[in-house]
Amino acid sequence: MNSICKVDALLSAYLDGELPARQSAEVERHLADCEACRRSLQALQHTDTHLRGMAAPEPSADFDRRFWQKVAAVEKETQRSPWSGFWLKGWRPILAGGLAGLVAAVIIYHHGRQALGPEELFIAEHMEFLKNYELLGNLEMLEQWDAMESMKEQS
Amino acid sequence: MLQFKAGDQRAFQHLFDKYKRRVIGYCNRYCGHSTVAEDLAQETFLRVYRAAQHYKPKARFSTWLFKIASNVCLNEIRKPIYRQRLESLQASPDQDRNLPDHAAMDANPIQPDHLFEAHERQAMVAQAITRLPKTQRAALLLRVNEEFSYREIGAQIGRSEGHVKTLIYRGRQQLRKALSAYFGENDE
Repeated sequence: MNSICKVDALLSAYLDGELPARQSAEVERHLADCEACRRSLQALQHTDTHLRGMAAPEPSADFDRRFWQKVAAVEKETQRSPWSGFWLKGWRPILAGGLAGLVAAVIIYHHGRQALGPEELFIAEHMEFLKNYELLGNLEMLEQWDAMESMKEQS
Repeated sequence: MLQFKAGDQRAFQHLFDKYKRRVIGYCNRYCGHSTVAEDLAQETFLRVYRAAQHYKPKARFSTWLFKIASNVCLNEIRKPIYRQRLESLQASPDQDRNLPDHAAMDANPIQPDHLFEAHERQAMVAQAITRLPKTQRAALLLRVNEEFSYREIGAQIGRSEGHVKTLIYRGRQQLRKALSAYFGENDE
């Protein structure tokens, strides 16, 4: 084989008729002048001949019987569990929806927890006490009563 | 296949009868053993049978069929039991003449005198094929023996046309090198 010849790498696709027409014509022109590439092409053709020459085994005598037994088993299984098709078909969307819901719940819960700093959390947890006894130093917090209530619920 | 999908059981029987030899032949060349090949061919047709309701005629039926057969073969040779099974069958040479003998190949790359007898020649070719990397092997067999186009092979093994071209080129070069050691470059 001529290791220098770049056309050698195209011979396999040329043999398969998979080169564009222009490239195929170039290879043919090259083959007319290059003995090494002609030998290389011939060797590939012989390799294919060896591959094609492999005899395919005849199916064994009970090949069909064994196969149809397996088909019968598949049919029996399908009849025994008529809902199996539904579950096989339907479990993916159900699982995907469930996972999406779970992820959303975790994010919402985690976000809610992160929104409360230690001070706000303390105030929210002791809201009634602080309100009744007017011990809340930060009066602005009382102006946002609804927000504080929701913080309490989230905590 | 569309007739079978519509409920005609005889249509599947027809497909099975039409393609079973081809599929057994492909699996046999791929895995190197006819008994294993029959099991793989049966698994292929069972998958076709089960998948009939989801079949969409995007390509030729044979393209889809050999895509399934290729997946079945690739899965099989990934199993540790494949090698064990092959070795246990090697212990009973009368069961199958296509059996690759990797140990003998490694120990003695130049094969014995009656090399040119037809069955020995086929055994050598079978050995050489089973030594190719698994995707390269599938691409080469789908091209040379089953005559699918590069585009169809790409769809069957999940690779681009360019990658298929490279796989087949390398497969041919490797096989040519392996077989030239037995037969010479241009025997026929």
